[in-house]
Amino acid sequence: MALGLRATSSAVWVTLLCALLVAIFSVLSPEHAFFSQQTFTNVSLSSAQIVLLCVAQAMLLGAGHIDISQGGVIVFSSVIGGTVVQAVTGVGSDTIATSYSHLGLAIVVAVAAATATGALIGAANGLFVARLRLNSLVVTLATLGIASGAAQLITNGANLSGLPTSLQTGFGIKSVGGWVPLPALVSAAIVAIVWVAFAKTRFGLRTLAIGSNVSAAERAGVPVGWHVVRLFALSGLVAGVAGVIDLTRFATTDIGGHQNDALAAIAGAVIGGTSLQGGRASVGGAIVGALLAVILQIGLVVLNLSPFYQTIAIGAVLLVAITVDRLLKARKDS
Amino acid sequence: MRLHRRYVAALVAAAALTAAAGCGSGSDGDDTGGSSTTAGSREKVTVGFVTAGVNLPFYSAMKCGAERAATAEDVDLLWQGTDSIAASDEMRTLQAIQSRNPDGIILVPWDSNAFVAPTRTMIAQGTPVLTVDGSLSQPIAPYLGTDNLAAGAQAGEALGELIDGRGTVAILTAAPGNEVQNKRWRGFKAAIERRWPDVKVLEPQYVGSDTAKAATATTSLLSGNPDLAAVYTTQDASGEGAASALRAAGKQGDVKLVSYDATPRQVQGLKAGTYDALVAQNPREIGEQMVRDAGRMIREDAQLPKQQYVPSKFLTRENVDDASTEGFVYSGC
Repeated sequence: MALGLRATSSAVWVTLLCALLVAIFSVLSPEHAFFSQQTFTNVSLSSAQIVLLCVAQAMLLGAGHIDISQGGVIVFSSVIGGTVVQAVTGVGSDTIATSYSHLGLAIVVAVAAATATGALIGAANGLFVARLRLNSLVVTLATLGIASGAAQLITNGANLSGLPTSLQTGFGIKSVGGWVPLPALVSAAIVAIVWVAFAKTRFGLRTLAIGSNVSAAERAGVPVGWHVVRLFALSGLVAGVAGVIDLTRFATTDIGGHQNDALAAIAGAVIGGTSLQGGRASVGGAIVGALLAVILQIGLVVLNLSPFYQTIAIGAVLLVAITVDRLLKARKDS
Repeated sequence: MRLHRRYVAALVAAAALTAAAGCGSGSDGDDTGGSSTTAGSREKVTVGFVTAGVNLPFYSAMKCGAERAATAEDVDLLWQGTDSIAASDEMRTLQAIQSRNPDGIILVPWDSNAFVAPTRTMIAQGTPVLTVDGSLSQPIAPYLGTDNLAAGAQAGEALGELIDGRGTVAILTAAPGNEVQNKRWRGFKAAIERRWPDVKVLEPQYVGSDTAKAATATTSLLSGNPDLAAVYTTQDASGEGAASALRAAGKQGDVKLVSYDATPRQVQGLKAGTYDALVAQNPREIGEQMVRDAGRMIREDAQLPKQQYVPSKFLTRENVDDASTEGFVYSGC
């Protein structure tokens, strides 16, 4: 498994880089403000969604596919979830309510509807790719547009409002012991499941086999089409979960947002050692690849670096990360 | 592994350099802090400012006014924002600024619902919050900025006059779900329907903060509506896009163009005939007043009015050269 080792070494290097950044930000920030419970909570909450997307993207890339539609799925499923909450509680966007009837039921149905919506869109992506042998980049670009547009259509162009703020205070911005945000816990649990499946079951082996050589995988008896559909459904499912997290963090939808989420997720996966050409993927790398960008974004604000320099600094660090990674590997190969 | 170590060493060296540079600027800050105690008797307070879309010219002008007031009021201003206009990105930045424990927060809420709960938390923790340029859906923090409904309505009435109350009018706006942008075109549309019943107002086109999309939309609107008499845009980037599309179609002047905002380029365009009128807000004044107000909220526990409007100005070719127009052009210091 030389290929697997290469992906792992990237994960180790990016983890070191993250630790180094944390150290630098902690030393440089006034009164070491970065090294605080607040930053820990902020990093975990801000990365809860992107880590999910990144890990699913790593699986897809490992199998030689890509999913551009994740951002659109987040928006669409959060709109479905929000609409369900409104329908079950009977509170519309133009009413301001202080108490909501059937709120517990509303939340359960909303979560189920939103995640199912995500998984279904993902599965549809997978069917187009696997059955019709269409290019996944183009298929998911199309569903990105359809999902985003449908969300705008349902909401008539205005973000849902009038949703209970208890969504936020009870889950979206609630932390266990003031440290670990609940959305981050949910995200971590899902990532752990995917990680175990990838590392310990034939799920991972099949994923990488498809990405390395499709026809060889087929000859070896891997149900390629079915597996690809499952991978896309996974990507849609986690985007649906991210949509639920969005809804609970903001007590509204963000129908104009999330357009670049999938790109950020792909970048995070690649930084963590997953190959764009398929056949190589790392769950751990995807996690730290996602964290790297979030740590940078937060640290530079705490340092109060001018926002314009921040954009440059983030680009520069990402470039350094992948350049050093490449140089390390080149040395190992020779 | 030997080489591995060399890279790590280089990286540590680079980090050390950054650290040295950072310390240098840090001690500069301490110096100015020391001198201010001799200049004024007041203790310095720290105010965090957070917006999305921080790269827009509007916020550069706002920063200019804010920094001027910060010097005068002994305020340490932490000016932060994100390039993107997504609520999640802005939320992350807001939380990062909070870890610096500022005495007060000035927030441009790019989503009127999403920031309600965090604002409530900050206020409960004793940090006063002032919202500027955009407001929250619940009246828990004072607002300072333009009266977007009224300014939009003023644009609508004036535009009706430009086209003699006849023809079709198109609206280009940024993104669905943005209440500030929505008010700008809803005020506009309501005023036209009230005052100019013969004018047909099309459904708004959502073009983001994207010049190219705005140009494409304008060209399509031109081919779809032969009687298009005017285009109204709710922010500067879409105004620029519409302007270039009208020029390319040879319709400049025939199809009137009225845009929100007044970047230096837009003001030039107004003088040259690319635009027929501009709704100019006063970001410098907003910036100055918000820092003064935040200072009062922190130091005197002042209760500000729920809504304070900073007047906007309707710029036309007739009044654009007046001396009183100067502060309304969006430029940094």
